[in-house]
Amino acid sequence: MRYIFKFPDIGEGLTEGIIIEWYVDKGNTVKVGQPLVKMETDKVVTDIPSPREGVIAARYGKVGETIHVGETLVELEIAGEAAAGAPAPSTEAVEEKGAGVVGTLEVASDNAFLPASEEGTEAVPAVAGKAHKVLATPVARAMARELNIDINQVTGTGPAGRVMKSDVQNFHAPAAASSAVSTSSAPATPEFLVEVRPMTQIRKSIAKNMLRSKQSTAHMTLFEEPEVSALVEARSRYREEYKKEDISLTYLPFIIKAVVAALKRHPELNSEMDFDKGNIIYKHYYNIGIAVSTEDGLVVPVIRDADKLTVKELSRAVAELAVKARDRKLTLDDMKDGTFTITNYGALGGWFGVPVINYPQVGILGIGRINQQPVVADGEIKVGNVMPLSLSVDHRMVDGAEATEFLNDVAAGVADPLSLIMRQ
Amino acid sequence: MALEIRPYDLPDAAIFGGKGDSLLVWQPAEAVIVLGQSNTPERSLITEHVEADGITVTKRPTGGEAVVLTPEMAVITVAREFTVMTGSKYFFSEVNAMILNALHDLGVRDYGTRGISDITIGRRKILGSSMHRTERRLVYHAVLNIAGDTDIFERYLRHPLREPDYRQKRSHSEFVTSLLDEGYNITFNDISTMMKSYATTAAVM
Repeated sequence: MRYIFKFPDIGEGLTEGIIIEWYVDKGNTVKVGQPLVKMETDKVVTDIPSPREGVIAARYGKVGETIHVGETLVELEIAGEAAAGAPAPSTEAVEEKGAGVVGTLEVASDNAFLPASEEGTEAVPAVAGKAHKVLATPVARAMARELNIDINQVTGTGPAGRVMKSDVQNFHAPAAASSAVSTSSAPATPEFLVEVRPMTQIRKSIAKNMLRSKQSTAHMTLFEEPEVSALVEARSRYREEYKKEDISLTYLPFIIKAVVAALKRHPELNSEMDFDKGNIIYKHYYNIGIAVSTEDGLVVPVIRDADKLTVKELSRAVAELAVKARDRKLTLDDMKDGTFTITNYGALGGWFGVPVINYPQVGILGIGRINQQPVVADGEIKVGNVMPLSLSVDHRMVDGAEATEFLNDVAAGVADPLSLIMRQ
Repeated sequence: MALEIRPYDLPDAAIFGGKGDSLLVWQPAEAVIVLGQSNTPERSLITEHVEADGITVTKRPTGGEAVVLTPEMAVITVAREFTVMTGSKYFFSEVNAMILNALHDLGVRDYGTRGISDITIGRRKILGSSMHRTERRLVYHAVLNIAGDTDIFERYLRHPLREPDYRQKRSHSEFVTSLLDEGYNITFNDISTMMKSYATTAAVM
């Protein structure tokens, strides 16, 4: 059967493009994703990949010609599909046509399986039987969902009454106009009272990632307050020695050690969920992200293979990343592939928090400032050093018991730093 | 005799054919005319002036209309590889926001974006951009006019076949401006340094 592939909107809302170069000719076999033609819109030169595997039965347009969105680019002969004379495909078969195309393509056309046609002759789209739901392009459906519009209420102006993006926009227009009137009636803020600046890339990334985390995971947060006088003493004892090697010994390397040890005992917290495929990906490496506050915003550089590093090596790694963050020299490589994140707001004076998971990771540990406060030991009240810990996990992946045990293990590790060495 | 179009061998040529993420801010060594992919010298250039002045003509891998590059301009090329491909307009928007923030920090005001991806001061254009898109990678390519004389556009470029609505048929010299003409004494090094600092902090989480 023939598959008619039409020029899709490549995301700028433009209506036409110029053919720059054909990569395929009639009779060529193409695979899914193989570039068919190089097109130029007003600003963008892009390869248009094949949405299906098949043989080029016909191609339309010469180099330099303008093609409008929705016009046929190629006809593909698809092997193994329904034979000629078979019932027309359902509308849902039409909806899948954007899947093989790069990027956020609006499938504005009605590419469909058709009876074989001769090159150059205009093919008439197969008319689907009565649809069980309204005909609409994927973009129109997505837009309707976003605007909270019932797509069944929208009158389609596309082929066979298909609801197009413009139909949804037009449907939404009265509400938007009303909103605009309402907004304009509000007293305007004098310009000198505000400063409008475009969002920085870092702020956009933070916003996008935070929202995605909150929307994609089931956050659960647990708290613990280990007594860490032994850790305070250990750090104090070795601080001067480290200083001779120009290393500033902080609590963080010990905490990383404790976290890695706990991750090894609780692999769910060092994993990732691939919900769509129904898989859980357990990672046998321990790349610990350290949330760092910079003038520009939050960044999370990663200490790779933290399980293989000593306290001294971790100290150096933390210091190096801090300097790179401060000097704006972090690269993408410094920040990718983290498996678990630690955020140390205690360094800024914070106490407890509800950290947001660095999605798609499963857990993040928040560290508060160490406080001296009364603790009960051996039936007596003493002055203790207490470190507030806040652990957020994705409850889809980690049960409460598992999270509690993990946090207890981390707490035990920082409470008894010698154990981190002895049990390594 | 038809004008020779030389292969694109400007400093960012390797980025277009390369892989991974890249940022290059570079300064043209001499005047060169760069055609968009679908441009032809006959339709886009005043060929007699180009020939008479011996200006090099080349064609970039991206779309858009012909431009004249001079040493008074900065060319900004940003490539990013995506696991999940994004729309071109979003990448235009992202990189333009980075540039706008750099300009803001350098003291520029009254800036904005118009058309598909132009950056303007007031109603006049100071930066034009275009893009090259492959299956998983976008390459943004922009020219920022720091101090270039806009008369050079009139000499070599015909009125473009396609223009954004806000241009309103204005001539090149009426439509394009430079940071210097707008009263900003900003150097190429200022732009380059600021862009690099923004780019290094751009990839987070």
